[in-house]
Formats: sequence, structure tokens, C-alpha cells
Amino acid sequence: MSKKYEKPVIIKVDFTMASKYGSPLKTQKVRSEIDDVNVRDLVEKFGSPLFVYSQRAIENKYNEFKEAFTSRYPDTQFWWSYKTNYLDAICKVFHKLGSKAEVVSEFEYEKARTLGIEGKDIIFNGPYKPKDALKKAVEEGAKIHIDHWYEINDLEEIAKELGKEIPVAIRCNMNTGVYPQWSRFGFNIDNGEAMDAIKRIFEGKKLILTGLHSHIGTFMLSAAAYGAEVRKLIELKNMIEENFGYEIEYIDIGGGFASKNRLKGVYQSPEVIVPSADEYAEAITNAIFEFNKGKLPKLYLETGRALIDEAGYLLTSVWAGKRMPDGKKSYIVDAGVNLLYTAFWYNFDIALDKRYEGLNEPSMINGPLCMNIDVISENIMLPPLNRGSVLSIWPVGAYNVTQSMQFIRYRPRIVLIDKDSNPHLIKEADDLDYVREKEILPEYLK
Amino acid sequence: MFEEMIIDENNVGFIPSLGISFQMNDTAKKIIELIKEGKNKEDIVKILSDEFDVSWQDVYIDVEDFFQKLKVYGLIK
Amino acid sequence: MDKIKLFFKPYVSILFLRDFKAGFVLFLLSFLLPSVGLLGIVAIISTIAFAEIAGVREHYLKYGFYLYNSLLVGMGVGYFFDVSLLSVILTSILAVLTFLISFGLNRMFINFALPILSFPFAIVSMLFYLASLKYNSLVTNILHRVPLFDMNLPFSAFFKSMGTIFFLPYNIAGLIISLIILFYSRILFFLAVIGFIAGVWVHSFFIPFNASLNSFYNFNFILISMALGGIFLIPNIRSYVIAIIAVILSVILIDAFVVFFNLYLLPVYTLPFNMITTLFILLASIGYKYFNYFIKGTPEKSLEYYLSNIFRFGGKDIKINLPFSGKWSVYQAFDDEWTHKGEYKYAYDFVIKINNKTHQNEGTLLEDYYAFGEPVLAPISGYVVAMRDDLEDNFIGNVDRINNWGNYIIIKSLDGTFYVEISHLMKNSITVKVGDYVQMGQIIGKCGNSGYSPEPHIHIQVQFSPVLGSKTVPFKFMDYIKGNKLYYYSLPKKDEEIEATIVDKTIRIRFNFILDDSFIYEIYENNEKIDEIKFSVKMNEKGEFYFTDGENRLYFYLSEKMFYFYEYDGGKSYLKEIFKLSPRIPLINKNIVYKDILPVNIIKGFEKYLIEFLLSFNYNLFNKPIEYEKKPLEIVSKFGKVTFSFYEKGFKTIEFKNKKLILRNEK
Repeated sequence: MSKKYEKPVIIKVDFTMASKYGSPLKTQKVRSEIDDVNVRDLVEKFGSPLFVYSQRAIENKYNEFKEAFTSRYPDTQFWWSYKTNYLDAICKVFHKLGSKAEVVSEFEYEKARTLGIEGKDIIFNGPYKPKDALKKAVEEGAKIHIDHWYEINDLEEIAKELGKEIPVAIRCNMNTGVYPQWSRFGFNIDNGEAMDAIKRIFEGKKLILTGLHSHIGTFMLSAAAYGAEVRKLIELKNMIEENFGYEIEYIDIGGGFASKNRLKGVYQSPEVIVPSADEYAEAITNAIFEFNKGKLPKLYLETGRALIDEAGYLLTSVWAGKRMPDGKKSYIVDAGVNLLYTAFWYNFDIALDKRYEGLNEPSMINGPLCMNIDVISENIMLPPLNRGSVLSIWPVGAYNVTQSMQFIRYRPRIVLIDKDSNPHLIKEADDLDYVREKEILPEYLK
Repeated sequence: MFEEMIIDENNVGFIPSLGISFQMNDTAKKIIELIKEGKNKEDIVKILSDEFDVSWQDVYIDVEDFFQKLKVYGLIK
Repeated sequence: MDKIKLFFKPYVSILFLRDFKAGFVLFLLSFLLPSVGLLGIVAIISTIAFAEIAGVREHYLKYGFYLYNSLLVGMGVGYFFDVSLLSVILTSILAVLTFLISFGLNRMFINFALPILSFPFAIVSMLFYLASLKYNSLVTNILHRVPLFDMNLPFSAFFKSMGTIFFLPYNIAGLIISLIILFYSRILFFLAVIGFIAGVWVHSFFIPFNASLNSFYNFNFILISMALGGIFLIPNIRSYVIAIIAVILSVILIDAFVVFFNLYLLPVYTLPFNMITTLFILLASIGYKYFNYFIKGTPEKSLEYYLSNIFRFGGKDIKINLPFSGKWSVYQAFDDEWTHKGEYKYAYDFVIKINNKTHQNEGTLLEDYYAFGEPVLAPISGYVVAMRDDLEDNFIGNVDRINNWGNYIIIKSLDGTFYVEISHLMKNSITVKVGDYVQMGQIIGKCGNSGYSPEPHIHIQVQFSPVLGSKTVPFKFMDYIKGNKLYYYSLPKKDEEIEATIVDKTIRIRFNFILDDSFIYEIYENNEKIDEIKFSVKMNEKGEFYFTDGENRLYFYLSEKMFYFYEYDGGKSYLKEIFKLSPRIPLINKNIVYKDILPVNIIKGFEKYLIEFLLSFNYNLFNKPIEYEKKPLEIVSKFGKVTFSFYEKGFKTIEFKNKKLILRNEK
């Protein structure tokens, strides 16, 4: 018949609207495919919202970090941080790539064990380790990283019960020149507490110190902070080897490498401020070479976010649109902060499923929850969208799934796209039976 | 205000007395012309729905949205 | 032992060789005329004694020329006079005088980078001759000067001339000297012969052939030819031609000197040789491509060293590292279609490609481009001389034609001879400032899109001036990996995907040998232990480090990214096998295949004598690359395998043919 119908759009022209990237009224960010799979096809097949992981992206990132470190320091081992994402399939991908496991609770420990990971390939961190879980971990050969003095006592009791010496590591914290300093975990090096802890271990004669651990923060934008961390750990190692005769087999520098996510309140783009794998590797390995005396230790890394964040997407569909009284367009989508807990700290990258006709207008994206805080994007330039438009939110691979809430709406399906671009369902959506499974209705209420 | 508005071939509408411009698309231009002719919301919905062969329920939402925008800009009450 | 070597070295230095064993033979030979032999010894002893008294032992130990000039003077006295108390005293005085003149002349000549050759001898001999005119008590031996024995030989004119170099103009002397030269260097022998022939032949244009053939001064032709063709210039056809030209020029010079000096009854001796050779060396040192800056024990060794430098280590090319890590593709190479033309043709542009595209999604935004934001590494160690990083990164579709270099950095090389410039960096990403020292491989900024840049890429070029926009000069990349092959000193082609190498410092530490490190190996043949051997690390007077098994020396060097062997002194040994098995070890943690070339004296057996000689005519005979494969802790080749351990220094096992050496762990 006649021309194709376009929704009417009118925008006041404002010459002060400047942008780094050309015209803000016309530029559209389009992501129609993830790993060569069309996003609308994915939503059609698996429903919406939908978490999508790209195995190719995982492997590329892992290899990037592995290359950056092993080319400078061959004896480097990665330990996949389960709390970042403990989906069986994702953990398996990392284990198959050669990573071991790092857990911070008895639940994560058991999960790793059920995946077939042996105790000796698990690092057990965390301030709260119930005694029986701790004992089991010790029996199975896990690497225990001690957080506080009570834990030393617990372990010595276990050693006595089992009748053997236990190899352990201690977690340390120190001033690395950045704020905030995570000073409530482990023993402080700067004021000598760490040295005291080691003395205590030495005098206890039941535990053998084999490693040193520290985890200085999360989303660290300064590679130099790691240099400072490594320096203090290595200097501590030198002192220990000299004074106590222990041979420190490894130093575990934790994780915290940043991903290309956009922190709220930071103006510069991630390309500018996020250090590359090489920068982190350079800072860390240089510090080892500069300060180490004696035998070179193994280098353990508990990288989580940096490896998985950019491999994860959340597909969400537009349900409705509204015009706010101030003129901004509000879109209601089916994924909200119940699924994107980290939306409170990051401005995600949001892309359209195809190119839309029409000019962009100031818009906001809200989730399905009946809560005022359910805002995914406060302010974004979008063309007029229809019900059914699929938006892809990125990067969401780290923490969002593990921290997602079973709140108001069922948690959605999760899909992993393999290296041949085949999508595989790796988690089914929650349903009513699942939610009610652990509930018990007392008799008197029936 | 619409009497004053001059819309050029790039779909930019200019109001000389206020010195402000609006970027719009073809559909928007058409609706404004219909408003100038004195048509009301329901009329406009029907005309658009017939011309583009789209269901009037869908068009209604868009036209309602458009009128909201015009209110925000102060072009209609 | 060293003291004794010191005594015989001057004899062999006269022939430009170094082996004291030959010196010993020549020492014995000198007694063919007992007075020559005896007064020769007297001269040497006097010089050494004086040097001890004057306290300049170090100097005469290092520089043999002090002694050979004295030796020549002594022999010269002995040629004309019998041994007597008088002649002994005379010799001693003259020897000391020669020593002083050698010292003084060297201080002057060294400013022009010239050797003093045997000028002191020629000068002192002349002085002596003049003085002796007044000494009636000195009786010449000319009437009864007879060698202890001699023989008749064909080519007797040649042999007599040879012998004359040592004041022994006799067939037997010349034969033995010729044999010594032939034994140590075929090139020197060849030069001696053609020098003699050329000189005599040209001379015979002007005087009767017989007179030319038997002229007393023909030995100058031999010395000039050997010095220029094989010692001070790198042996090749061009140098040989230059040597012959020098010989021809000397023909006139000799006759002129002879006539002139005869007026005063002065001997000409080696003056023609000294003058001509010095003039030619002066000229060559300024610009001759084959000037020999590293004179080794024989011309063959000098040639191998020179060719090693060119074929194994990239010669004099300017070499820089890749300014990135990981895999990048060449966007533009030298002399390329868009912007690398004319004065700016020697430059490289690099981008990152995944699935053959430089960007993901539609490529409309800067962050879609894989190269954008990637760290840029310093390509050389040096000092930052200029930089700017305040320009915006252009959005896609926009370029800055005014500041077309964009944000840039210019680094001066450590030796100050060239500058490297990198362009189009990201705004505010440069982490160093002008005057800072940067280490090769250090992160100095990020890839951006500033300047005349249609999409994010790294641009790199070399120039001779620190000014932005200077003319580019050619260079090579020190090393890069393509596929699984490691290439040295070469240039990748357009669109090739290459990877930069990163130093694995843990390997480097294990190859950082220090003086007196020693390693004991158990030797197994066919799996049965047959022997043990010890290698120690020592250093020579020039500060060069080597492994030795007591007799042979294997010279090594540890550079930023490579451990390599570059010279071998000695005969058949296990050290020689180690050279073959791992001539160089890339200090990178990757499985790669690379090529290296072994010097002729390492791989060939008896035929090496012929090949080393022919090498001077065709340098490509040297260019025979051999493939080596590096795996995590080992290097494998057609010769065998060496392995290293993760924690200990040096080689853990060395395997070749049916032999295996295993490092014994010292507890």
C-alpha cells in the first residue's frame, strides 16, 4: 500500500547537546547477534528475560589472562572464584580450561566437590568456616586460607583430632595506596599482626605455613595497587623464610581485576581507565622479580569478574512504554534489579536488537517490579521501541546470577552458547514448586 | 503555535517568534498538519490507521504518546 | 705459564697471528742465524725488564706490539753483527728505546684509530744505523753470515722473501714460515702469495724481471697484502683487490725509498709496508664497509665473526621491538598505499583483527574496535624526548588533518643514534613524561584514534632526528612470532598476523651466569656412564664471558630476550656440541620454531679449512640456516636435544648422537 508506518517522533533541537560520538539523535547501538546467534531467535526459543553466556568469550578472556601471566611467569595457576558465578556449566568451562576452584563457604565447597573437583584443587577462603566443614576440607586436602586467630585454634584442634600436621596459608591485608583498604579480612602486615600470626602458627607446631594470600579489593582500576600488594607479600615471604625456615610454596594474590563495565559516577570510558591483562601481569610479575629472595614462589590468581563479566548478557523484552510528565520516555522491560543487583553500581551497556527507524529520545528503562528503585537505566537515548523489542544488557556475567533474587518474578532461564554457536540450556527457570519446595505449612494453619 | 510553525524539507519545524526548532519525522509532520487542519485525536488516529494499514489500537498509543510530548513542549494545552 | 707465553707471542705477532706455539717454533727458527736468535732474546728480555722497572706491566701484557717491535730491532742487530758484549748492550739500549717509541707512537696514533705496525722498529733501526756509522768497534758479520743449514727449493725467491721478514733470507726459513702461515690461515697464505706475485710482476715492468724477483724488499709486498687483505679489512674479493692495489702502489714507494735512503746508507726495512698500510687503513676506517673493527686471531676468525654478526644477529640494521603484546595484524607496511610514502615510507601500522574484522558490531563506535584502548609498549629502552596526549580521539568517520600525528611519543635510543616515534595514542593515556627513562616492553600509553587516523591503530617509525614529522629511516623488528615460527631481524608483510614476544624472566634468571659458576655433568654413552666433565664460567681480558672445560672456550652473551653463543675457541669437545644444540635460546615461554646459523668452524670437519677460505669469495656459503624447536624446558634440533630445569641454572641434560650429559646435583 503506502509507505511503512513509523511512530511519530518530535524532539526539540538543543545545540548544546554535545557528544563524543557523533549525533546523539541518530546513533544507535545495535547488537543483533551474540556469537552469531540472533537475539530474537534466542528469546523466541528460550523465553524472556534470558541470561546468555558466550563460551567463546570466556575462553578468549581466560586465554588472554593466562597468556599475559604465563608468558611473564610460567608457574601461574588460576583458581576460578565460585562466588562470581557458580553455575555448574560455567565452572566446568573454567575447570576444563585448566582453572582450579576457589570457594568462600561450605556450600560452594560442596558444589565444587560435586563437580568432581578434588580437595587439593580447592582453595577455601572466608571469615566464616564452620568447624565440621573445615574439618572435611582439611581431610580432603583443600588449601585453607586462615582469616583470624580463632581459626588457628580451630585448625589446631582438627590437627590434633586427625593426628597430622596441616599445611595452611594465611590471608593478609595491607595498605596498597588505594581506598578503600579491605582491612577486615585476614591479618594486617603493616602493623605486624601477620608476623605475629605466623609466630603463633610456628609455636603451635601443628600447622605448616605453605602460602600467603591477600585479596585487596574489587574492580581495581590501579595495576600499581597490585604491585604494592605483591611487594608486601613477597617481603613478608622473605622474612618468614629467613626467620622461621618455612618454605613458602605459593603466593595467592586474590582477584579484583576490573572488567569493561561502566562504574556509576566515573566519566571516562572503560577503554581508557580499565587496565589490560598485560598491565596487571606486568605490575605483579615485576614486583615478584624485584623483591623476591630465594626460590620463586608459585603464583595463584583468584580472578573472577575479569574472566566472566564480559561473557555474560541479559536479554530482556520491552513490555510497554510510557511518557513521563517531564517528557522522558519510560520503557517497562521484563528484567529488573531482581536480576541485576549490580545495576546499583554500574551503568550497563544496552543495545538494540536491530536498527530502528526514527530519532532517539531521552528514555529510561525500568524493570517489572513494583518497586520504585527498579531502574536499570536512568537516562539513555533510544529510538521509539515496540512491545517485543529485545534489548541486550552487557556485561552482566559476574555476580548478577549468583546475587539474583527470587523476588516478585521467577528467575529466568540461562543459556550457554558453545564455540560452534549452539545455544545450550544450562539452568531452567524457577517455578512455583521450586519456590515452595522448602516451605512447610504448620498443621494448625492448614 | 502550529499556525506559526514552518516545517522544512528536512522535517525541522521552526517557530520564528520563539526561535525554537524541532526535529521530527514524516509521521509527526503529518499529524501536525492534521492538527492545523483542525482534526482532533480520534480523527487523526483513524486517518493514520487507514493510511498505513495498522490497527487503530496500536496507533492510538502512539498518538496519545505524541500528544503528551506536545504538551511537555508547551505546543498544546 | 702466562709469562712463558708472553715470551713467544712477539715472534708470531710479526705474522699477525696469535698462537704462542707457532711463536715457539719461530723462536727456534730464529737460531738459524745464532746471532739473530740470541740478540732477539736479549731484546725481549731487556724490554720486559725495563717495563717492570718502569711499572707498566699491565700495558705490555695487553699489547703485544711493544714486544715485537723490540724483537725485530734485536734480530736486525743480530743480522748485521756478531754476538759480543758490545752488541748485547747495544741491543738492550735499542730495545728500550723501541719500547718508548712504541709507547709514544701509540698514544699519537690511537687518536686516529691507527695501529703502529712496525714503525718503531723501522725508525729505531734507522737511528741505530746512523749511529753505528761512528762505532768502529762494531764489526759486521757480513763476510761470514751463514745459516746453520739451508736447502734448495723451487720458488726460492718467494721463500727467501718470506724469510727476510725475520732477517733469515733463506729457503728453509721461508718454507717453515710459509708452512706456519698456511697452517693457521689459508687466507693469509693466499694473500702472501698473490701479494708477492703482483708486486714482483708490476715491478718487472720497470726493472729487469730477475732484479725484480730477487729484490731484497719484496717481503714488503707480502706484509702489505696480508695486512690489508686479511687483517685490517674483512677478507673478501674487494678487500683482496684493495690489498693488491696497495702492493702495486708500494712498488714505486719502495724504489723511491731505496734510492733516497741509499744516499745515507740507511736501510729501508719495513717502511714501505708501514706507510702504505697505514694510509690505506686511515682511508678505510672512515667509510669502507668491510673495515675490520674486531680483529680476531686469524682472518678466518675475523670473517666468521663478521658474518655471524650479519647473518645471525642482523648486522648494523636498526632493530626495535614490537610496541604491543599479543596478536596484531599489519595494516600498512613499508612503502604502502595510503600514507607510507616518500619520506614517510619506512613505517608500520598495526591493528587487531578477530574473524578478519578490526571491530565488532557495526564499527560505528570507537569501543567496537579491538585495538582501541590496548596498551602500547616501549619498543626500545631509552629516554622520552617528546610527547603529547591532549588531543581528542576522533569518533569514527572523523579525522584530524591538522595534527595528523595525533597524540604521540618519541623515544631516543640508549646509544643516541636514532629515535622511535609512535602515533595516534589515546588521549591522556601516556604514562611517562619527557626526560623519563623507559625500559623496553614497559607500558607507555594506549592505542587511540587521535590525529589522521581512520580507525584505531598503532603507527610506528624510526627517524634520525627528535623532531616530529622527520624523515623516516629503515629498520627491522628484533623478533616476532608468526604462527608458531619465531623470526629475527625481519619485517612482516601487509595483512600478516604477528605476535610480540614477552620476556620470561624466570628463564632469564637461570641463564644469568656469573664468574666461577661451575657445572659437573655425568657423561653416558649408550646409557652407560663413561666419564664426568666440569664446565666453568670465566672471563677474558676484554670482559667477555665463556664456558670452559679447561681447554676450550665457548663464548656466550645474555641479552634482553636471548641467550646465545657467539664464538668458539678450540677443537672437538662437548662444549662445541652445546653450541650446535642451542646456538641461541629465546627467553620466552612459548612453543616455537626458529632458525639459526652455525659458524663454519662449528659444524664442519676437515672440509672447514677449504670452506673458510672460499667463504671470503662468497659470503652466502655462511648462510645455511638450521631449524630449532623450543618447547617448555627444552630445545630440539637435528643435532639432538638440550633440556633445562625449572629451578637450577644452566643446562640439565645435553643429548646428541648416542651420548647424554646429565647435570649432577650438588647437595
